[in-house]
Amino acid sequence: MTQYVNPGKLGARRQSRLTKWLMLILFIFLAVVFIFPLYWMVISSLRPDGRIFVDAMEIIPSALSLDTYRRLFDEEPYLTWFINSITQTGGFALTGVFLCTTGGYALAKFRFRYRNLLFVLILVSQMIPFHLLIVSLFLMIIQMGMAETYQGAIIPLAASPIGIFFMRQYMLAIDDEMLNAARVDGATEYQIFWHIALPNARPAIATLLILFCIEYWNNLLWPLIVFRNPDNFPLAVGIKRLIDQYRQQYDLTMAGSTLATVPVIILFFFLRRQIMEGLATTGTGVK
Amino acid sequence: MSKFRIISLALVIAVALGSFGMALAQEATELTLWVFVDRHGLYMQSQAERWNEAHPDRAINLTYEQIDYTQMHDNLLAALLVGMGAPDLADVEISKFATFTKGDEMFYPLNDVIDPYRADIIETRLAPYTANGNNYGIDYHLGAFIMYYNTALLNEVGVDVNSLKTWDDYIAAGLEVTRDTDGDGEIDVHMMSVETTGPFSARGPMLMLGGGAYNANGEVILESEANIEALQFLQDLVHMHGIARPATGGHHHTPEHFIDLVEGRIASFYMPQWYMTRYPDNMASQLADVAVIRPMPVWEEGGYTSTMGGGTGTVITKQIDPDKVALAAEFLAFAKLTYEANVALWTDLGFDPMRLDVYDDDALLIAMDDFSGEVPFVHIKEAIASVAPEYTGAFYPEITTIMTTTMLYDLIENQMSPEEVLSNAAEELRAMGADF
Amino acid sequence: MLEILRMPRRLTGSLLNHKKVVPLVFLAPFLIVFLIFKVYPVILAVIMSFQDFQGIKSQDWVGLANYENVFELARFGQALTNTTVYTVGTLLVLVPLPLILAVLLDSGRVVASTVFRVLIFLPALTSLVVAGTVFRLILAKDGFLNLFLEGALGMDRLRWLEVSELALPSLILIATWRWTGMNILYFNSGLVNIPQELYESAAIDGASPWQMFLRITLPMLRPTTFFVVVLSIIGGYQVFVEPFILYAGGAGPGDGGLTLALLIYRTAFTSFNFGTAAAMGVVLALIIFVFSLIQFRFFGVLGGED
Repeated sequence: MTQYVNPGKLGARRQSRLTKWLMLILFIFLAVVFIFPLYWMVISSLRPDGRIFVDAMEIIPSALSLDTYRRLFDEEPYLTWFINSITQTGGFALTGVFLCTTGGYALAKFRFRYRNLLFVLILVSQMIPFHLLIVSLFLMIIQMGMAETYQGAIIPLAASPIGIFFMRQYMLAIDDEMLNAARVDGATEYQIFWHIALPNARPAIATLLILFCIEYWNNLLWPLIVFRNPDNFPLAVGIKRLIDQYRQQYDLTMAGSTLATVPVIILFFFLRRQIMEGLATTGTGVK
Repeated sequence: MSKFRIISLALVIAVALGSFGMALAQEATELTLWVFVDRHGLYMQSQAERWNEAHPDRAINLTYEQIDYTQMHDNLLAALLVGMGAPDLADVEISKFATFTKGDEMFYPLNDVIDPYRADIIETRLAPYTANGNNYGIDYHLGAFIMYYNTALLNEVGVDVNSLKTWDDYIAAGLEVTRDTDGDGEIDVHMMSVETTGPFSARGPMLMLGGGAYNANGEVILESEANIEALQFLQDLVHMHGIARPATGGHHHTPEHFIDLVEGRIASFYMPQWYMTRYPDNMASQLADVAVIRPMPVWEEGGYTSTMGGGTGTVITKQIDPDKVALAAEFLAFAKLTYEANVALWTDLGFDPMRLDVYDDDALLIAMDDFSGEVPFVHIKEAIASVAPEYTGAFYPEITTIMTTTMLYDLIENQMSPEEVLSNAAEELRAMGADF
Repeated sequence: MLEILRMPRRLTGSLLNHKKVVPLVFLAPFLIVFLIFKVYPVILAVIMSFQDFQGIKSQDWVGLANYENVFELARFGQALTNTTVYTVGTLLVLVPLPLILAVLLDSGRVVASTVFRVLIFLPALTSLVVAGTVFRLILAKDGFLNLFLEGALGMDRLRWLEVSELALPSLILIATWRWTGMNILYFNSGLVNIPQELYESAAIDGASPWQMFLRITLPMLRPTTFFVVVLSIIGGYQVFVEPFILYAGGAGPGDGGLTLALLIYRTAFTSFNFGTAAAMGVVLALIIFVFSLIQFRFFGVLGGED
């Protein structure tokens, strides 16, 4: 990944093969433990009709079937949910990144009155229990005509305290002298932001985009409040709907969730370098 | 063709065209409905079609939205609180209903449209959705408590399921059935499982012995003798007789409990009739050859043979266009209380209807593969011979919460006395503002 | 929007470029959304906590009655204790464990360390609906956790889902599964930023890897640790979805998994007592606030910036 040396690396030269093997075994064990629930989700979705609990303890399935997936697409508007999820997630991530990048830049690179107070307030707001706000938010969404709309699902959550915290931390690390040099050359603050800060923040922006994507993709509570029409549901809400008091379609839930998890895993796999570098260079480092 | 004939033909055509034009002009009334069970929505739509055939001049166009159980009730409450956003009709689950009776009146009373049917139905089924003498909701089913048996586990020790008439019979048989089959010192088969984080195992005996949460006068009767007796009975099944154990996972809807049933670790348990649908849905009909249903054993001759569990009442919200109220109410009674509707409640939804006269209908008297090829309604009819009523009130949701969180857990797991757990519950209710 | 930003100074006028206006312009988008959808509802909720809220039409001022109510309810104390135990539990596991794993993964002694980072991270990407169902089967009496503990350690089978005392450990277990990978990534990012010269000079001075870990790695990771600790406290005190999903809307046997957020939810939507629920929310927010302030002081995050 990046060129650096840490205590382990220095010590590594002196390490015996035995340690390497022990480490490998340890991490294989950990990986198996962490992956196991996911593996189980996948095999559960492949069990023949109605056998999800009957065969639950079969770690290596004796019979596989795609019936559940066929039913998922035949009986439920799964494809619609999928497309909704992609659109809403994309919209949410872009909006959130825009708000947090500009806001984080302001908090990190300008001195103004009440800046720290504002920053603390924003962080504190993250601590307010969401359920306290449901009634007021619900009322506002209806009054503003935002129920059943993508704006309603996206905008209220987009001012993410964690997001702006993350971007602020990143922006703090950008060299002030670079910005000052541009100021001396006569660039406006907006040019400086656009031409210097943004390109430098690219890894952090990518990371934040992905974190926002993950957040919305699995978000259950908020979209449930905004949407009631199944045609507007994102995946998480649609899948939750498969289990109710009188009919518990655990098999469809497992299949639906498997298909919902795959894209996120693929996305993460392709962008993992980007994410890790983003996190690394941000350092989440508070100075 | 005479002139007269031509004229009359012209007249007929004119009238026909005219009435056609009228029919076009009279559009179907739009009604919206929120449900948390998709099949309820489909059922109401098919009833709307039946209504339109019977009343083409007052047609309705019913659209429904299915929302997750918790969220639907939360959204409905919030919408009714803020005065906008609620549907015309909504399903409200029995344990959530009282929450809606605490503020301003949120639903329209249905007394008038129910009146013509009162003689035909088990009227106490309306009690859970009644407040201040007004019936606000109509249920989809009776939810009669019945016993679910695994006959294979009984037969292994020579117990005939038909011989279990009283609880004494049942306990005696239970001592045989409950056993360690592989000799490892641990009991492998229990006669019964009881819910500690679900309400049904306690609520059944409480109601059938004359207790429950509320009495007919709307008073909290948590600490009544009947409730003490019922909880003592439940505790004895587990700890004195040793024939019952807590359901794995705490209640009868956990995946672990389904596994227990399929693996033959539980010989019987009681739940409302609608639990029958779990056998094909969650257990892949694995128990088809051994599962049967029977009426619950009785404590004494002439006592209640069953009671009602769970339920969902459809209500008309105050946010409906006032011009539509009468039509919506009539439709609601039509969809839930007519003979045809009650047959459909079984054929479409698999529920036990609350009208008694449909229990002899051929549509109900069918053999079911999932229950050993027997005709379940023979036994359900026997079970509902005398059904203990259930009354609810403002603190019913809290009582249910207390029961399913600490009360039954303390009773069964911590072996606290019935008096103690009931008085703890009463004390907590009073701290919440209940006055009794 | 962006075109405007690119325009040369003379076209956008001096106002937009005024020293005091610029930060406002950058802040405005976030701030507007924040004020409307965070601050305003919070104000409404605080107002509600002093009212007997029965709907938009009937709200009576009741002074501090709701707050008195909160401290009279036995379950509030229980929920507060549960939530605190859960938060401390997640802190005790989800800070040291990922830290150690991150250092090991970074040490060069692990083959294919990136693959392991990714694998351990994957649970964070899974929906909680599935996690709830799957963990019910894993934690069941005859489930895989017990089979493992019995086989590997010879322990008796525990009734994870049925005994009140095991509700919080079960929830901490799920949190560990879900967030270890995420925290490894955070720590990893901190490790990358430690200048290699520090280690080099320490090595020249003859420091052992353990000494370097204590004297260099840990202190240099302080900002990251701060971030992870704050996130864990906030997440811990707000925990809602995990018990909600694992116990299908309940709070576990004997309310053993009852958290403050669940109690607030129950008070509002089951008991129809929005005033008391709002008061609980305010109390909860204050608790988290105080904890975080102590944190901020401890890590000196606000020190000497203005």
